[in-house]
Amino acid sequence: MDPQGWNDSELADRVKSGNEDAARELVRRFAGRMFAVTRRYCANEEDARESLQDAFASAFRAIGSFHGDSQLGTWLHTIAVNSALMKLRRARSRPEVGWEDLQPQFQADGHYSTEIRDWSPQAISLAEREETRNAVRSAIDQLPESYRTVLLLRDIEEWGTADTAQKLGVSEAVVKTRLHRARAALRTLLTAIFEGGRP
Amino acid sequence: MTCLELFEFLSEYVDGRLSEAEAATFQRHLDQCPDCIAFLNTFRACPKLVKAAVSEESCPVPPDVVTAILAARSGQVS
Repeated sequence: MDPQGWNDSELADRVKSGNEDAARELVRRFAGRMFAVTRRYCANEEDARESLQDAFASAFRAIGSFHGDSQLGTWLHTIAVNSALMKLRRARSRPEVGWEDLQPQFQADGHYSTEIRDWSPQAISLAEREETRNAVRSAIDQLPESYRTVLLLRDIEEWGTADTAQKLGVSEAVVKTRLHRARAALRTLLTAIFEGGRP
Repeated sequence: MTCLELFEFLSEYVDGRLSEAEAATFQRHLDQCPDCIAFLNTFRACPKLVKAAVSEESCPVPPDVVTAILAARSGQVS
């Protein structure tokens, strides 16, 4: 049978048994999705590529422990996320864009310092356009790594606060604070995009 | 409640982690503050925009990366 005809369970079993066609099919079937994951977390393309390679190395080493308790794609997705997080821990820290400037500013009486406009209807209507997606990804990349990671784990991977804290080795209070600041900073960056007439 | 105070608890509000009494206090402020309504709407829009931006199911993998993955696999097996 053509390897592309194997279901995920058959594929996993054949990879476990050392079948080289199965190993190639595993890469063919899942590398694209896993690359999307590593690119999401890593700061640059090179790190994303290396993280993908590391993820597959981990997957091939650990395939014996895959027993079908979850979907094969889900299992590999988790490996890709963990690989990217490991890459981030080893990466040099990047210069931070005026971090505090990305938080909203208030007057002494507690009111906003600038007029707040609601650009959300326009933005949502443009969300699927490639220009919008590229601009949003660029904004995500500008977030300091520790805050971007929490944002992605909580709002995209939908990990709970406790799981995120445990994985990152920080307290739940730190996770909540970083998430709030990341959301606020991202809003500021996206405001510049959507109020500036782009994308 | 000031706009600053509302902002500080905005994530809890959006995530549904405020008590009924706290949420009611929030709502009373929102009912009379256009700036906070606008900020809340844009704050809520961000996760949707992020999900749309990263929702690609797949990215093209450079052939040299695929080659490296399979070469490493061969090294592991041997």
